[in-house]
Amino acid sequence: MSISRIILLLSVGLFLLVVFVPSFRHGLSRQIAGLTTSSETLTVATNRGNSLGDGTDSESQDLEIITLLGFDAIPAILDPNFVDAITADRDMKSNELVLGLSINGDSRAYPIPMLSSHEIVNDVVGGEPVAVTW
Amino acid sequence: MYGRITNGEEHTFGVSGKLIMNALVMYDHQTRTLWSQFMREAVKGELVGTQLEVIPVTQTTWQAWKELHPDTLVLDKNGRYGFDTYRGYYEDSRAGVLGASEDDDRLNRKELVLGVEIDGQSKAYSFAALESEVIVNDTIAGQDALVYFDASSGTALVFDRTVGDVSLTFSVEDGPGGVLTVFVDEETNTRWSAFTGVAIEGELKGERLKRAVSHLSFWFAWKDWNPDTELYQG
Repeated sequence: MSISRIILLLSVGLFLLVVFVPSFRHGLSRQIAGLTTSSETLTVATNRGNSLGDGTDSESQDLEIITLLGFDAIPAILDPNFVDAITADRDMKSNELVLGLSINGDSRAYPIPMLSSHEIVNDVVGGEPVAVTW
Repeated sequence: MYGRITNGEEHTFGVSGKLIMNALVMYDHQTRTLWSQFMREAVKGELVGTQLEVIPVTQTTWQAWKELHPDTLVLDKNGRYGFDTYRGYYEDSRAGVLGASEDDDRLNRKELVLGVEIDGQSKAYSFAALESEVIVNDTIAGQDALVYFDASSGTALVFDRTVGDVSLTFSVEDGPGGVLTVFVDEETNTRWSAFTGVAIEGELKGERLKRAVSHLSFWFAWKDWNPDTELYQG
């Protein structure tokens, strides 16, 4: 068998796999997208307004939960350190975005570029345990 | 922003690496329950069904926050984080990690909106409308709401404009603007600090308008999460 014949057969084989085997096509396209993902459907009870809103009054809804990364691939902050405003000023631009929180006279700012990298900061503000998320 | 105490137990949260509706899914270290930012509750694991307490935050510029709270603490950058890893994302037309579910023609998908949800009813205010109007006295799901936007810092705040039994109607007082912006209500002529919702002078001095939870997001994301949303375009 010539090389070109082998290549032709392999190409046809691959084409048939992609066309006729859905899981192969699905996996292939996800890999090509640069992400290897898996997805799972959860059924959760709807007891609040934030639903997928098809207008029907149902007791449960299906949510797709997609796994992109492993646990802690993005590291949440568990033990945050703080500086005062004067010190912070050295590293902050005037128009830099922050999430600001003031509870019981305890005011804190969380720079959004940092929140982008960590997604969650576990903190205690004015005596209240809070999770600042982005 | 969430309270970390549920059912009397304090939790710490990590990033699960999973998404629901393009939004963060956290896990707690104590039980490894999964918590959805979109659903505002635990969706899988021992604590499934437990609701998260949502606490309003203020998204604003460092300049504005520093003026408002000179004694503020700031999360230590440790000399890093000079740029936002998502910066390119804000500018281009990609929608989420997994794409938008469908397009809604009322606004461009990457246009910013202020989204509010009260009692199951959702309403979005386009940034263009907010920029030109600055405040909107509105009603959502029967609740009278005050929507305020400061263009200089990109700060958007929603307050409940009912104090006691009285629904107040606000206008912006001529003045410096930014964090020094003052509202006046036409019912009592009380003057209020726009950024804090605190009455600073007049009959209702000392009262504080309650903040409603609102989200600054892209139109495509808000629409995905709230398919029946109303849209205010001025």
